[in-house]
Amino acid sequence: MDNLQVQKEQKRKLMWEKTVDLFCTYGLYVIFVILVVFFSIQNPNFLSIKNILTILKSASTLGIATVGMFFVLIVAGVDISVASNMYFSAVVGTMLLNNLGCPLIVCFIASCLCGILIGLINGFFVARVKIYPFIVTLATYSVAKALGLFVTKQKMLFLGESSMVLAKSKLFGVSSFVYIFLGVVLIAYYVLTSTQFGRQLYACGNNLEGANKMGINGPKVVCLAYVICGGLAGIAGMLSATNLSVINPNFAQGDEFVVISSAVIGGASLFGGKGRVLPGAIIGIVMIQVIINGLTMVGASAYVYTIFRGIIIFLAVMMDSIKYSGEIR
Amino acid sequence: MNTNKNEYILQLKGITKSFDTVKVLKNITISLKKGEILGLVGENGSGKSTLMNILGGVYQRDGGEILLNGKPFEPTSPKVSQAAGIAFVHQELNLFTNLSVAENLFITNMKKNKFGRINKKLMNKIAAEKMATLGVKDLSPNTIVGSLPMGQRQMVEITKSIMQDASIIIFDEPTTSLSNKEKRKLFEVMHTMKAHGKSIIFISHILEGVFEHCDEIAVLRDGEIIAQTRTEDTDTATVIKNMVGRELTNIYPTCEKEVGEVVFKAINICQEGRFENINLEIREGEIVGMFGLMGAGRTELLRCLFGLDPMLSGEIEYKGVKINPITPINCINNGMAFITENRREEGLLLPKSIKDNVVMTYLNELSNKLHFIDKVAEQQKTDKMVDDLKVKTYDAKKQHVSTLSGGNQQKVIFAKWVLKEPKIFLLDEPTRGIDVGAKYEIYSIIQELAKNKSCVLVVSSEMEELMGICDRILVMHNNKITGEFMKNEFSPENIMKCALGGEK
Repeated sequence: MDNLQVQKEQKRKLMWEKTVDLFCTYGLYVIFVILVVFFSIQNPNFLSIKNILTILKSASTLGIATVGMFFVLIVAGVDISVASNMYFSAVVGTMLLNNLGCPLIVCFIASCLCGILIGLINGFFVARVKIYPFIVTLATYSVAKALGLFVTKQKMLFLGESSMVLAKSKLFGVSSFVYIFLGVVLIAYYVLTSTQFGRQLYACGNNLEGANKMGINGPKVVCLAYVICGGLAGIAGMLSATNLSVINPNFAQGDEFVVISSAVIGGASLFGGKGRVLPGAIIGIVMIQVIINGLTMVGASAYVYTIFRGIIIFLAVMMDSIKYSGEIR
Repeated sequence: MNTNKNEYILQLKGITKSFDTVKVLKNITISLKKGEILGLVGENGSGKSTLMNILGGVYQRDGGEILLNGKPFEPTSPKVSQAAGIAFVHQELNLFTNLSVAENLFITNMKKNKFGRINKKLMNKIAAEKMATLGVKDLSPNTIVGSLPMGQRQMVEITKSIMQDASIIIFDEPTTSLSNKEKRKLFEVMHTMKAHGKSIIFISHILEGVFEHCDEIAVLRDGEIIAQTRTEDTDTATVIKNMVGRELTNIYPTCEKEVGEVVFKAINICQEGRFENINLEIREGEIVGMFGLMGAGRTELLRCLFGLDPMLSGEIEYKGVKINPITPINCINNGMAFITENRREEGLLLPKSIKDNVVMTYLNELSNKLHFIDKVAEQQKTDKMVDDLKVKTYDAKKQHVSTLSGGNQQKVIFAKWVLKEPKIFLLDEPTRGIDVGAKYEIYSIIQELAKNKSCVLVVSSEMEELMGICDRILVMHNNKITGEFMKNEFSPENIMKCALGGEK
């Protein structure tokens, strides 16, 4: 090959790389904007303040789980059990509410503890026993779901009138859910950026072996990430239950993928070590909720939503992989 | 002050260490003076890293004495060594590329207030001060390490070593990944540290650097210290002679074979950022050795020839037929075989039986039209190979490869390829980590291959074995072939000189 040809080839390669890079960075946002324009033309109510507030409220519950997912993704893990975790934790919380008449706050604490327990199991097997997170969380996904179905005898659980208080409460016209979500994001942001534990999470996700050599307790840090993810999933589950005021057997089904893709869209990487919850978690979950809401507003069938969800997950993960392969570690 | 200067900060006396039956270190005695730089040179595998791992508390020595500041010192774990003020700067950097410089320096010991909030300002300030003491001023503690060039990352790694107020710093081949300018900077930093009264052990095989910057030079060969002298009392020739000057103790198998015409050619091999127009020819039945020191690019060249790593341009020819495209599958189909240096990771399926490993590349030939495997032929072939190559096993069908000794594992790898009857063998360190007896058998196998008119290219760090089995030796330095020696020209000093970057 002569020099000129080589140079030309390199130039073409560079151009292509640049295009791919641009697509990976802004591609999803472009698709998002196109969809928003499409929805608002199809249904003028889509951009009304009322609808936007609805979107924000519905984004808040899964948004809390997304924040948890950020912790796990940062340590280069993944948690597929979040949705089952939400279901089981919500069932536990609701049963306390219905059968023992516990106050709402106690139910939330119980749900959170229940989620933490599942997270602890995940974390133990991933960090200590060193089994792939995908396998471990797939197992807990199945077990938690089955336990929930067993406890409820596969029947719907209805929440009492008292639980509606929280879901209906508003501050300055905005649902209190949104404030809870923002609070969780802010705390997570503080932990991740301003504490030693937070920085060690990033370190473990970047180079776990190196972290262990440096005297970081790698297994402990990784395990805690799963515990946080589990605990937040528990809260998200109970919150979602009080909003719907009913738990049917397919409660939160498939939401693990919404949560994972929101986190990835928001800047976390499946390869670990990356991601900021502020504004990442908010952007990710809101984007997905906007699409879900928009599809309902234009009267698309439920299947279309599932197809869209699949495509979004695929695009987000694909872009993540492409970006990662260009990175030097 | 003058008396202080002559004080020994660290003395090693009669250190010995064996792994299984292999004596890696035999009676090592060296000493390091306060505020001086000691250069430690030696071939690959001469025991440098084992010695440093003993000092760092990673391995425990079998015998001998370590004196730190004149007092006995027991490095029982890395933590003990660290606390005693011994710090390491490794060749591979241990940094988190997604964190800032200061965060890397403080990762286990961050400055924080009572609410656990980390004090970034304070950490940045201390980091900058520490770096300034090393003369590093152009590096902001706030930068993300991933955005820094290798040289600056090395500076961060070095700074990390002085965070704990170490008094002895060991640099293990720190210059391999650095540009010339970065190297100069590194040496400046070493001298700054020295001026602050720190003592340094500098492990390297780049003699220029060692001669220019060290106060004393110790030469290590085959687990023994050959000489420790003041730099001004020695010269390059003596050091090279000390590095390689061993008697030929091993006996090598010989066999009658004919060397024919050139049949294998690699033409203008280029790889981005590494090789430029490398040419290479092997004759039929010829054994060509490839010598070079760590990082010379030998393994990389083999991987390139076998299509394992990307090649920018270049051609490979066997008997006038081009092998195109150059991918592992196509190379195998054209009669090439590659024996990797990572026996356990890349060469074998450890938890599988010997039989499964031997027939791994031969399954196509063993299966019938319906793609069922002929079990009888499989067993016959395995038995023949086990017999031919003298693999020691009780049952090739049942015994797992993981339970074999290194030498026998290596023979299984050879069996796997020999079964395919390839014509070109690329061998990467075929005798690494195996005992003398097995080495002899491997040499016999290699000779046998050549006798059967195969081309053999052997990469090895043991010059002696190359001189023993090869018809010709190529020497690599800095990703270039710098020398070629025919059998009658073999001389350890000249080959080493080439490997160190000199002219033939």
